[in-house]
Amino acid sequence: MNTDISALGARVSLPALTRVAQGVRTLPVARPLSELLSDVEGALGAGARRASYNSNLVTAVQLAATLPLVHRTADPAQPLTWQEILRTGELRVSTGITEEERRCRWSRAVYFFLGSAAYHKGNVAFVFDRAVSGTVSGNFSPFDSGGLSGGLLEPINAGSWDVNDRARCLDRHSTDVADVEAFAGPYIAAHFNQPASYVSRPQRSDTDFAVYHELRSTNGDRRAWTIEVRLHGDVTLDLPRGSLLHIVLANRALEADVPDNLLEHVMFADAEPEGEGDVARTTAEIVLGRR
Amino acid sequence: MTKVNPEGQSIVGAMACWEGQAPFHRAPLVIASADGGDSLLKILRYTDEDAEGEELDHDEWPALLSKQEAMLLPGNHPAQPHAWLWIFRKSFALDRPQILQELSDTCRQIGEPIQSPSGDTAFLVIESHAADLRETWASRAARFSEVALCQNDTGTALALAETAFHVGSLMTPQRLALLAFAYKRNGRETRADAYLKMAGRSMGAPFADEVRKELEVLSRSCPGNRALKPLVTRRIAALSKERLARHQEAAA
Repeated sequence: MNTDISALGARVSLPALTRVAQGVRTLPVARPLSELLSDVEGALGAGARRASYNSNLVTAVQLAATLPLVHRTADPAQPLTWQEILRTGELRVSTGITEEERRCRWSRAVYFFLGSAAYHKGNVAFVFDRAVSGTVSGNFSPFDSGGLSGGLLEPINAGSWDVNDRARCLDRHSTDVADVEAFAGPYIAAHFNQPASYVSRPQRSDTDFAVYHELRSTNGDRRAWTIEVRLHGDVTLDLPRGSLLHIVLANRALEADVPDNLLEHVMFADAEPEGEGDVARTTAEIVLGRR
Repeated sequence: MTKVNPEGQSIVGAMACWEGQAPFHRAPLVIASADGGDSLLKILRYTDEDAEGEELDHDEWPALLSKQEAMLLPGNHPAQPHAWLWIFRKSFALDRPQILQELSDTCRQIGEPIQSPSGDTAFLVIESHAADLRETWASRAARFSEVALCQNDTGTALALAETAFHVGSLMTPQRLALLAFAYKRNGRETRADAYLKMAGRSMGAPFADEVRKELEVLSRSCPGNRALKPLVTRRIAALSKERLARHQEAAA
């Protein structure tokens, strides 16, 4: 059975239209979701990868519907320290943007990964219901834009890879954040034998099938294939109840810095006996409903 | 997860900052190849003689330092299995000289104590025999906190309850309940209630139920301004004897 994912894309673009109708500012030059899904489709071929895709699509779409946005601290682009984030109750947009983002005519952003806290390596992860992305404009790409600009990602086959090439690549593989769920299901099904692997793989890991965008990490980092969400406005932690799902702390000592009104969201990361909490693994287990 | 033998590695820093609020912070170390290579490892645990953790890219360590997620440690000490950084902040509510004496009597340390500009102290501790010591301190702080609660000295009780919660090697329902109760008695109901939710979220519903039960016990035994219940009175008497014995021992 072949599943027409372009049709899926056309169906779920509606939230973007709704957002426009509701007055949420949209970004310039958003490539249609149907084109991104068509790119994914083009990588499937007719063999084992297609079979894996077909058997996993329903599960992957279900998983995609549950994936939260995760911001892990120690992001150099985030102007606030973890303590300042807690004290002010805000994630603020970056102090600057990369040259590639500038060429895409995007503004400063708060950066998240969809369903993963594998990067950065900070002691705190904020896990948001994806509904938070409806509060500000934003977009996403199936790789880390910072890694693209910083030389972590490179094309598998390309003679040229200058800033113009990178900006074109970023633009080509990005679209409106309202479509991230509709993209994520087919994308995950197209790249993993088990959809949950998208969430649970460690930072240094690969997909089961070659990534359709043909970028690879220079050190086998999952930032080459984890979906990055960029929201172009400050994100408050003091949201309507339910939007901030969890604050995952690496260490019990950090709870003392969490304000009274946010403490109920705290979850300590799993630690081996006598070990430090593993924020990435714990977040993955939360996302997969194992905690 | 990357595994390395700490032999031949050096201690670069730890995943904590001086500015934290907790009275005690046990922080994992960040180690580097002694040959000056780029590779850094943020240790999450030790297995036998090996250290396991997350590799840090060359640009991640400066970011962790600038974002107050980590601190540099002086001395360029060689890494050793089971080494952690123990930070005692000024808010640590047990008798500092006694604690430090017990620490030096029980645990092997690396290098000299490290002082922060604001008066906090940190030690690089080889933890092989240290878990019991932390539990001893936690139990002591919890007992003193209960006494202070019953004496209506709520500020002292809270400082001791926080010390008990953070210094213990285990997060027990008793200590979490004591912390919540002490906050409640200090008028911070929101935080007290949040500890119950945090308990359920982190440790599961049965653990949260245990915390609730312990809170009920505390409410009965330390009801505030009312006269002390016999059970509590006995506890105070026992504590007084223990304190007296300790002072006599110290004097001897």
